Amino acid sequence: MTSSSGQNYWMSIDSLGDQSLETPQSESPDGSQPVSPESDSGWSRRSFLRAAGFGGAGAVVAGCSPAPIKKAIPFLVQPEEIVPGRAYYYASTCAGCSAGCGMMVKNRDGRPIKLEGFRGAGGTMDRSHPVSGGGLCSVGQASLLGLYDSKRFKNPQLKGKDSDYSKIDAELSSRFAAGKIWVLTATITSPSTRRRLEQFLAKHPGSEHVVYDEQSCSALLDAHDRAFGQRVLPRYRFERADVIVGVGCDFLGTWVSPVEFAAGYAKGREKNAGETAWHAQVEGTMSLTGTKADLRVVKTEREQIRLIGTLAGMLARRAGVSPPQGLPNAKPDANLKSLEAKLWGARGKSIVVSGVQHAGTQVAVAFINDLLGNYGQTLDIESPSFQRQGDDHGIQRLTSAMAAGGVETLIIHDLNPLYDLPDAAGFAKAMKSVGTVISTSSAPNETSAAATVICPEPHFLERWDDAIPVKGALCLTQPAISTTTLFKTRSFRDSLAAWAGDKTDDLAFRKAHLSKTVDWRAASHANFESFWSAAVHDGVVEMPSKVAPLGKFKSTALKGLSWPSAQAADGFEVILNEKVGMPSGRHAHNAWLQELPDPITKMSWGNAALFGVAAAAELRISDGDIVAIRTKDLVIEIPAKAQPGQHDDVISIAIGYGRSGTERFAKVGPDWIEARPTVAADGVVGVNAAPLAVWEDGLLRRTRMVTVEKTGRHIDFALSQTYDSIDLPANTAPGEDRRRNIVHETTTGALAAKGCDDHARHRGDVDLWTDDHANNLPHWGMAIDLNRCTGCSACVVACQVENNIPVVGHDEVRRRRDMHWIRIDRYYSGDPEKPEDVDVIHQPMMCHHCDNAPCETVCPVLATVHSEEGLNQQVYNRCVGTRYCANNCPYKVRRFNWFDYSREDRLQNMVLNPDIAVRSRGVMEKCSFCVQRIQAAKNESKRTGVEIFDGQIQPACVQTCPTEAIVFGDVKKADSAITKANADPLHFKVLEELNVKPSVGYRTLVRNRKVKGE
Amino acid sequence: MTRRTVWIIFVVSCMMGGAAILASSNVRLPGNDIGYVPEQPIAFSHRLHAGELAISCLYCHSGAEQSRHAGIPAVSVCMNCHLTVKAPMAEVKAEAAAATAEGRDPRRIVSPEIQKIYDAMGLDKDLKRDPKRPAPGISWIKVHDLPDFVYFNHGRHVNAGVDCTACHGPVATMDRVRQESNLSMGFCVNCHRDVNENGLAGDHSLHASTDCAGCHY
Repeated sequence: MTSSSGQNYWMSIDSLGDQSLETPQSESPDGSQPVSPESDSGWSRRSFLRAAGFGGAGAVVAGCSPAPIKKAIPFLVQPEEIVPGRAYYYASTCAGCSAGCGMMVKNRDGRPIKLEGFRGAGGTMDRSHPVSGGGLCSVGQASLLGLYDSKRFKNPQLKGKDSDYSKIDAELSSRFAAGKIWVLTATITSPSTRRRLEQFLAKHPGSEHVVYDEQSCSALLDAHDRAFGQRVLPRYRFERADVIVGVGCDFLGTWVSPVEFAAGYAKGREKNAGETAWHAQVEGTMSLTGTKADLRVVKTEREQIRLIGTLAGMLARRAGVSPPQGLPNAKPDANLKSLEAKLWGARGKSIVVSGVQHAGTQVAVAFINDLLGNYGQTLDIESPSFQRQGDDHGIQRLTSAMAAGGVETLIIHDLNPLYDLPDAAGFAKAMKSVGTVISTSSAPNETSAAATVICPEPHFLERWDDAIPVKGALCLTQPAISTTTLFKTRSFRDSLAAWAGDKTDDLAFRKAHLSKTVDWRAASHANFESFWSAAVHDGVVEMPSKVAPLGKFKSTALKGLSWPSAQAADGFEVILNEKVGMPSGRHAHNAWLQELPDPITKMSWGNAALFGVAAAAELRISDGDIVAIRTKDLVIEIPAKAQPGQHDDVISIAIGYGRSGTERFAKVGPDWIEARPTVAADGVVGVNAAPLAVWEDGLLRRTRMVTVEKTGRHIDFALSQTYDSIDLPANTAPGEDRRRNIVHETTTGALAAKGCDDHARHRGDVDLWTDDHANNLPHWGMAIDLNRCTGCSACVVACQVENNIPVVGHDEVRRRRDMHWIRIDRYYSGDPEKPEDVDVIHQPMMCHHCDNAPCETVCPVLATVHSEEGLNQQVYNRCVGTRYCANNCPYKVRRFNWFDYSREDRLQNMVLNPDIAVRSRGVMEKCSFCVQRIQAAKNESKRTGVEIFDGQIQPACVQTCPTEAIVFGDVKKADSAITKANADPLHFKVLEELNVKPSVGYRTLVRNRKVKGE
Repeated sequence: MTRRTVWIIFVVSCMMGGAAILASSNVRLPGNDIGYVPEQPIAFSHRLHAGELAISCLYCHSGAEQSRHAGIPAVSVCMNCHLTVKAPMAEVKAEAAAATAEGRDPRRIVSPEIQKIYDAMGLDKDLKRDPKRPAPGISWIKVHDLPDFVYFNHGRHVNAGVDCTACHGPVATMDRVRQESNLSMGFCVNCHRDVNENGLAGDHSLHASTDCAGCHY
C-alpha cells in the first residue's frame, strides 16, 4: 500500500500553513490562557474543602429519607401490539424529500423515537427496498425531530387567529366560488393525493395546478420532453455503469435521490475482483460526489456547459454522426480526450449526468447518453422516476397571472416560495392581489406569514400516504402516532376532499383509487384486500410494470439552443449549491441538521461563501471575514471561507440558510457567563442565498456573475475536526523515516504493480500486556470500507438520535465541545501548491474500543473499563469528570458534558431513547458500539432460544448506512463478515503502531487510476 | 500520650460510636429504600390475589417475560374478574342469606375498593363505559424504582429462571407491597457472581455478566 508513500494529508488550510499539526495548540479556540486555579477570591483550597466536607456530610444525613413518590399509571385497555418497554416497528416511507426511501419507524410506548433504514420481510439483513435499498440519509434520520417541534401550528388559522376546520371550510366555500383558483405544490408522488387534487380542480373549472421544486430539475425534465417526448426523469442505475461522468451534479450528496444513487454507486465501484467503475466529476466547487471521483476536473459552470457541448460533438464525430449545428467546440484538452475515450470504451455501460439547469446542456447530455446506447441500460426511462416533476415555467406563469390580478385563490402546499424563489419579493408583491392565500405549512414560515388561511399538514409520521417515486414501486406511509395526538392538523388530501365536498373516508378513497390504478394482480395477490394488507405490512410493493417502448432521440432537439460564449465575463461566478445535511430551507428548523458538520467544510450552524484558496489569498480574505457579494441589483453579506478543490473564479454558497424563525436557536446552547448566542441579535442562522439565483430562458439558474468586496467585519465559524490533531510524535514512529498515515489510500495502478505494501501494517509482536482474559464470549469489532463511505454523515445523525446526544449550539462547537460520537474526518491530500487539485478522503471516526485501551489505564475511579466482550465501557454514574481518559485517547473520540444541556422543551424530549441514560454535567461519554442494541439482541435470543446470527446486531450507524460501508460483528467467529473484512489485505488499523489494539479497522481507499489526473 | 493522640482517639471513638448508633437505627444510605411500603390508591392485596387465590404473577404482570418492564396490568385486566366479582364472598353470602330470611331480592353489594376500579374506567352502574364520566385510570405508587442510569430487564431474568421472589420477596404474603431487597448494585452483583459460581437451580450453563455495560448505558 504505497499510497501512504509521501502522501501528505492535511485537515485544513490553516493547519497546512503553519504545519501546526505538530505544534501544541492552546486548548481554547481564541488562544486565551486558562484562569489561574488559585484565584484571589478569598477562599483557599483548604477552607473550601473543609466547608464542602461539612456540607456533603449534611447532605448525606438529609438524604436519608425515602425517595420522592413516583406514580405509574397503566393503560385502561392495553392496545394489542403495545407491550410497555418493548419497541415495535412500522414499515413506512420517508417524506423528508421526494425521493421516497423506505424506512422502519421505531415506536416505544406509542411514540416514534427513531427512524431506521428499510428492512424487508426476509430478516434483519434484507435491504430490499426498490428505491433506497436499506439506507436512510441524514435528513431522513433527522426529520423525526420535526414531529416534536413545539413551534408547529397547533390549530388551523384564519386571518392569523386560531380557528377550526369547519369554520375554515365554510369560509372557503364562498371564496372558492369567487374566481380562479391556482394550486402551487411541490412534486406530488402520491397517486391518491394527485387524484384528490384532480377532483378538486375538476370541481372548479378554470383552476390550475403548478408544480415547482426548490431543488429544480426542470431543465433535465424539459430535455427528455424535447428529445423523447416524455417529461420524466430517467432512473439512473449507477450499479450498472463502468464509467460515470458527473457534471455539476452532486448525486451522492443532495441530487434527487442520494440514498438510491449512493447505494448503486457503491455496488458499481465493487464489481468483480479488482474491477471498479471509473468516475470523473466536472465541477466548480468541492461536492461530496467530487470527493469520490477518480478524475476531478475543476471548471466554472460556464466551462462545464461548454465542455458538455464539446464532448457531444467529439462523440458524435467518433460515432460517425454529423454533430449538430451550433454546439460549442472548444479545443479538447487531455481531460476531455480522456473522458471521450473512456465513455466511448464503455458504450451501454456508462452514465453522463448533469445537474446544470441549462437547456442545451441537458439536451446535449441526453444526446451523449443516447449516442452511447446508455438508455435502456444504465438509464431507465421506460420505468422512469417521478421524484422530481417541477416545471420552472409554471411558477413564472403564476407570478404573471397574479400580477395581472387573475388569481382569486392561491393554495400553496408543501412549498415556501417567499423564501426560496430568487425574486421572492416580486412574488410576494404579486401575491398581494390574490384574494385568499391558503398555506398547508405545518410550521410558520415566510409564506404562511402572508397567508390568509393555514391548514397545517401533519408530519409524515402522523398521516397515511402513498407514493410511486419510481414506476413499479408503490410505497406506503402509515402513521406511527395519531394525527390529532399532538396538534390539530389535517392532511392536504383531507382538506381537498372537504373543499370538493366529497365525504368519502380517506382510507376507502385511497383503497378504491389504488385498486383501480395499480396493477395489484401483477404482485400475485388473489384480491385487493390481501394485496393491501401485505402492502401496509411491508411498506412497499414492487409490481412488474409493462414496459412502454422507448421513443427515438429526436435530432431536432438540439436545434435552437443557446450556449454561453467562450469569453468569461468579469467578476466571480457564484454557484448556489446544497449542503448534505441541509438540502433546502425545509429543514432549517431542525437542530440536529443545523449542528451536523458539513462533510466538506466541517461547518455547523451556518453557511459561507466558499472561495478558491488562491482567490481568497489574492483578495486577502481569511476564514470568517464577512464579504459583500454584489450584483447590479442586490448585495448579500456573508462570511467567506477558502475551500480547497474550488475553482478560483467560483464562489459557492449553500442554500437553505437564513430561514425566518431560526432565531429560535439563539439560546440553543448552555447558558453560562461566557456563552455567545448561536444566532446574533435579530439575526437568523446563516444567510439566504436564494436571491442570487436568476431566471434564464424560463429556467431557474443557480449561477450568476458577481463582484466581491470586503466589509472589514468578521465572525467565527463553528468548525469541527480541525483540532485535536492526531499525529505521531517522532519517537513512536516506525523504524523507518516514513511515517504511517492516519488514512491510507492507493490506486489501482499501484495495487496492480506492487500489491499491498505492509509498511502500513504493524506487526505487534511485542506486548507488555498478557492475554489473560480468554473466554468464549463474542468480541465485537467494526470495519469501515473507505471505498464505500461517501462521507454522507447519515451515521452521525443516526447515532445522535439513537444515543440521546445533545445539541450544543454554535458557540460550543466553536469551542470544540461538539458532542457527536461519530465524526467524519475529512483529509485533503495532494500538492499544497495546487489547492484546486486536492483529493479528499473521508474517515468515520468513533471510539475504537481498544483492547489495550489507553483511556482505561488512566481513569482514577474505574469509570471506563473493558467488558468481557471487548467493549470499552463508559460508566456514567461512576465518572467524576477528570477527563484524563479524553486526554489519553489517541483517537480523540471522547466527549465531555461540560454542561447540563437544555432539555426544557418537553415536547422535544419525547424523542429521547428510553433505553439510554441522559448524561448529566461533568460526565464523559463516547461511542458504545450501541451496547443497548447488543443487549436487546441478547434479550431476544434468550427469550426465543434462537441464537444471534452474524449481522443481526446493527449499531445505528451500520443500520442506516446507504452504502453498507460499515460491518459490525463478532471477530471470534471464523465465518463472520467482520472476520472476512479484517482479513482483507487492504485492511488497516489507525495508529496501529501504538499497539492499543483497536477493534475498529478500515479498508484502504483505492482510487481507480494509474497516476493522478488520469 | 500527647494531647494530639488523645484528641485523635477521642474523634475516632466518637465516629465509631456514631456509626454504631446509625447502624442500629433505621437510618439508611441515600437511594436505599428497603422496607418502603407506600399506601396505594386502591387497597389491592397481593396476599389475597397471589397468595390465597394463587393467581400467577404473569397473569397481571404479563410484560415480565418479554419486556424490560414487568408492567402494571391495564385496568381492563382487573375487569376480567371484577366484572363479576364485586365484593368479598362472605359479604355476598351474608346478604344472600339475609335476603332469603327477609324474603326479598339480595341487594347489589359493591366493595368500596372495587368501586374505585369502576370509577377509574368511567363505568356506570351496569358496568358499561359511560363517555360522560372521566376515566382517569389508576395512579399507582411505584414501590420498586431503580435510578435512571441502571437498565434492568425483567424478561432476561424471568427467562433465565430467576424466581420473582428472589428480588421482590414473598409478595404472596404481603397485603400491601413492601420493598424487600435494597436493590443496590451489591445486591445485583452478588447474585450474578453466585450464579456464575454455583449455577441457578442446578443450571450451570448460565453466564450472568458482571460487565458494567450489562446494566449501565
